[in-house]
Amino acid sequence: MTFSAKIFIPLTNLCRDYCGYCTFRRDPGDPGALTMTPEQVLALARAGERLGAKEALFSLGDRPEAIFPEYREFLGRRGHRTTLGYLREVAALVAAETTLLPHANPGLMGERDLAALREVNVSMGIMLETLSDRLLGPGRAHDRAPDKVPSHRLRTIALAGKLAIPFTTGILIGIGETHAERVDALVAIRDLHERYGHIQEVIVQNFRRKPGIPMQGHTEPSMGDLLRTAAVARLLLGSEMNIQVPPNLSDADFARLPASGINDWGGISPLTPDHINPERPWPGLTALRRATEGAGLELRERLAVYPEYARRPEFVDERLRSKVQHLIDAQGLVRGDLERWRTWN
Amino acid sequence: MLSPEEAVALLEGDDALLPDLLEAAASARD
Repeated sequence: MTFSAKIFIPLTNLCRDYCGYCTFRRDPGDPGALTMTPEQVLALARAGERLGAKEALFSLGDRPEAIFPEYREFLGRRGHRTTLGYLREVAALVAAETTLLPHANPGLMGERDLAALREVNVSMGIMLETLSDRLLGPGRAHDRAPDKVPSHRLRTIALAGKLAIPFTTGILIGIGETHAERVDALVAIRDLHERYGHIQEVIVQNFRRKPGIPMQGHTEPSMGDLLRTAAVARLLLGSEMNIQVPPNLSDADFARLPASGINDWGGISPLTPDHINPERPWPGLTALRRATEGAGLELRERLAVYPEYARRPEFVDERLRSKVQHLIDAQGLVRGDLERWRTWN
Repeated sequence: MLSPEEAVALLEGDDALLPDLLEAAASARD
């Protein structure tokens, strides 16, 4: 059972999508609206590095430049036309100036964007979330969310495969999809992995209600539903796939999750909150280790690039290979002497 | 490997069958 010691870098929370379950996104001028400067990013990365984190997770809004003129001006002052161009600059900075390995999760990407970001990220990701076009309809979860068109997201995942980018994706359950649609999404991920062999991890994430969101009255998936879906994902995707369920979205019940066949807890930060679910802190490493060992498993730290890909040069850009190799042991996991998490709480 | 039809049936299965499903999934991982 693995996890990644990370810091979460919310490069910008401006976003052109208005998903019904999201508390992360902001419009310019909203309380909490934030776009980080390179200096702020680097300071955060260095603080994470001092604590022993290895992953710099860049998670951000999708194409805010498409609808916010003031944000376009911000990018222009920095010499960029797109968020993805700006992201490449700051990811390159973190890769060059710290020991952290960037993993970008910036929404839809085209082939040129992916190729540029691949040079400075050891892996990337986009949640497929669902394969249901119904959820784009009025009042549904993806109403007013143009970047959540499932075929567009499948295209990004396929392009990442074409470019040999170790890729993280997954499904979001309980947002109005049927069981058949849930399975369709998992099968679509399986099909893309069979074609390109690049899916390093599949996340099964459960919707949680939050005050103030359009879906605040929506029913949450039960623990039984989450366990059942994770187990079905394991049986659909096979024994080799890495399957993650975030532990902070299951409250005290998270210790039950390993029983469903998952083998990863995702990223855990010693420094930054889960900016997507800030009201739900990650369990401490002591509790995580206890839950893991209680299920008869061993807890180990992995990099943002999974062991299956870390040792394969065709999946890691040559500019990042020596950093990766320095950090891993013969299994492709973080070297024991670098597992600083053992001193966290 | 599980077919999509079988997967849907498992998602919609009786709660009493959940322990068996979990055991099969954990075995597949291990």
